[in-house]
Amino acid sequence: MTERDVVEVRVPADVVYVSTLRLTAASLAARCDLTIDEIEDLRLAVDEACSLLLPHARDGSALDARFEVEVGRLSVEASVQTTAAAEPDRTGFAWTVLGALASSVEVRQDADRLVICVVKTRAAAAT
Amino acid sequence: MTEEPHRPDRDERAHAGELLAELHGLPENSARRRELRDQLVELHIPLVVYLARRFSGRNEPMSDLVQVGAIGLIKAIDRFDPERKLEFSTYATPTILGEIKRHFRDTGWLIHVPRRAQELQTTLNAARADLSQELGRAPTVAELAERIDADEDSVLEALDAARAYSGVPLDVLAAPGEVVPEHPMLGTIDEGYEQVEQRELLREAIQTLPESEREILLLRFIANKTQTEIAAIVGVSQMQVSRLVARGLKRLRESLGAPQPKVEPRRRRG
Repeated sequence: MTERDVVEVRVPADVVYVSTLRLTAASLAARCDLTIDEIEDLRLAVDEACSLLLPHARDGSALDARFEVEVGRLSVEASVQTTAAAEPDRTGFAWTVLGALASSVEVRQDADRLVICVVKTRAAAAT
Repeated sequence: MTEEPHRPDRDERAHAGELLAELHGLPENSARRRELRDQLVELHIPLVVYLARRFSGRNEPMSDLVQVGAIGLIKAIDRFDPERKLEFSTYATPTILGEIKRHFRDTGWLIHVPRRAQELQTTLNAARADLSQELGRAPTVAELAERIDADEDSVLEALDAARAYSGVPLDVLAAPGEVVPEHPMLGTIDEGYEQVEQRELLREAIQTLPESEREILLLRFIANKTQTEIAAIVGVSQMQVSRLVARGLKRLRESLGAPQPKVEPRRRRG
């Protein structure tokens, strides 16, 4: 592994493919040397991020995930193509859980894509 | 995804904030504490249900998960510091999840994925055999998952584990940043025992080879020289070395009664 490897996965914007991203995230998180608990958190966080994005995805479009893999840190940038500027629902549990599980969460609109960037970092000490 | 349990709305959250502030202003032994705590638990049970549902594919009864999650919720209520400007549900989520994870850990399976996958193995193998018989083809992951009452992710994990049994090189597991050796560290059954026997047979067979072939085979396979290197050492062409290696091997196989491969496996030339 070099300093920072990039893995990109594109799946149809359909809930049945979320597990593919979840498994990819878990597998890559293992490479980053995150703890089992952190991997579990990340799995759930990816789930939540996807469920926040999917309602905004254009019909027949793709759900893209870009993973940045480095030691002690995995960043997952998930995005969908939207028809208009969109905002994820911040009133539901999904948002709460995402915020609580990720080390950082960032939402942005990139042209016609709604992007949620989730970062999970290895905790310095055991929690 | 699935319909969401109701999340407290703004009013309820404000209400929760008031309850928490009051609770933490009270002395430890106050009877009112218990009352407030009950109200807070009731208010946040939907969050526990939401989180517990995330683990529902894993063969543990939902009611158990909600119960252990609720323990986490109570801990969070007791430990919450209203002075910190943090939303309670954000504070409580890791605590609740922590409790659910601990439950899995203590009951001895899951979270610890490889172990769990291992335990699924036996069940999975039986289900695979049965389903193959019934369907007249190999079952799908979904079919397997349904049969053994697990979710598809777990089945995939277990299948991965099964594959690992048949020998994934250990260097795949090398820590990030570590230099991965060119040759797999492991991944085959230890052939040492069989090799002892074979080596004995081979020793005799090698004695029967003509001097030139024997020398070249030793250089090739014991000293691990390339054909080009051998050519230089022995003073013949590389083509000649190649021919002698092939002939020597053929002779050895004949004298050991081994089947002849169609093509001589050739290593990268030096």
